[in-house]
Amino acid sequence: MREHQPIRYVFIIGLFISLFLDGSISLIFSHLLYGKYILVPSITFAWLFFGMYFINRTNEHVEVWAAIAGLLFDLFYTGILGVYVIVFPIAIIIGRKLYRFLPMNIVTGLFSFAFNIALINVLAYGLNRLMNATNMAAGYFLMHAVIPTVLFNSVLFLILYVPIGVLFDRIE
Amino acid sequence: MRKFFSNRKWLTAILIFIICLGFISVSVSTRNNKSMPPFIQRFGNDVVGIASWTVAVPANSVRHAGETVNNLINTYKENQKLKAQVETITATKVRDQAIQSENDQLKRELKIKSGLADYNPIVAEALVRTPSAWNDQFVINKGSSAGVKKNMSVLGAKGLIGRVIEVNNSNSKVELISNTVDSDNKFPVEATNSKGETVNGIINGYDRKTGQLIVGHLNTKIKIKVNDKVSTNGLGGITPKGIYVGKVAKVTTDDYGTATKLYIQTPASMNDLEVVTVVDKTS
Repeated sequence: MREHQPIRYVFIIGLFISLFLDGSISLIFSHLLYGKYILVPSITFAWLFFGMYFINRTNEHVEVWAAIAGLLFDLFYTGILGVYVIVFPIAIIIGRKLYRFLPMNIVTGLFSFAFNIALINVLAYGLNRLMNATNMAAGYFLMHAVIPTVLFNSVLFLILYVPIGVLFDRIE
Repeated sequence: MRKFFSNRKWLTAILIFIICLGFISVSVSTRNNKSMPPFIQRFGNDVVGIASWTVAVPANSVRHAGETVNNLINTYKENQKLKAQVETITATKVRDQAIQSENDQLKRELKIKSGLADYNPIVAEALVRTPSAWNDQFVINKGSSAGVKKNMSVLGAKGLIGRVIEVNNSNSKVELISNTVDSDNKFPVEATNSKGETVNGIINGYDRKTGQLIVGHLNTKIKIKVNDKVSTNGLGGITPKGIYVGKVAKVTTDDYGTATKLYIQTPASMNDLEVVTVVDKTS
């Protein structure tokens, strides 16, 4: 049944690369990204979102890959298991619901992506706060982290939208 | 009611959520209480750590290239500045050696094996930083096989930057001092004024707006002024003595006006990490 599907391999390899790119970019540009305003790059989620958005013909289970990426994220980056492993799939599921509900173009894509990024940040922060793994104040987090992060990732989304769309279309 | 619970999707979702909450609380308590995460987690981290080199090593080398160009441009200015310093450095070095040997001799006479200020350095490279707004955490490329242990202090180029919070075999996680969660260990520090009098305290806060560390609850008559130096005091058994933390930027009293509160400006390199030193207090 499962025939040779190059898109599958491209998606998985790209997922791993983007997972590590998040950490590397955070390290190299940390004086720019983690200053007064916190801009967290979410290339991993952007890749998952593009996978959900563009890959239609092959029946790829993006939710499962979101959970795997989330598990690796928890394991390697934060050390607190169980946060992103649940947050990433939730965001993808909601993204898919929005995708079916809204017409497909770059504006609705951007809206849905920005909403998902905000959701991921707030949910992950909420879980950490609940378990007392952070003491950052909620107001500060909202003003200095969530809003700049959403804006920053929206710009990334706009830059990557056309190239990744073309890439996935070509391979499919 | 019956309809709600017969809905399998809801039940699975709630079950997954509860399992995740369980995992979170287990890993938070492991992080607070155990010296190492469970074997499977360490193994996973080692594998992911090695896989991360595929991206981190090229990215770091690109960064080096950028810095090399920068260095070339700055060389002339730096050279002039350094020339002025070179003359004093030899004198300081010789004096340092003399004091070191005298110190060793005195220690031998007093039969002290190791002082508060002795430590073994382990040099490590920063691999990646946690892409998260509140964690202030990064991964270094040395783990338990290189002798890294939990709660060791980590130094940057200019002074104290954080502590080891998780140790795997070939990499470990470091938390910056800017993260001051209640459950973490606090750094014991001392502020020394111009007369040589010291005040001991604990770093128990971080002002995110100004990027300054807070030492609170000081109850002392000794006057600390702005620009006095702050370093670790070696008490508490984990941190060695004499690691530079920063300069006093502001002296105020706490909310009730009874105790002194110090704001400490750390050296600028807190956010620009490349090579770090993990220090092991010899005891």
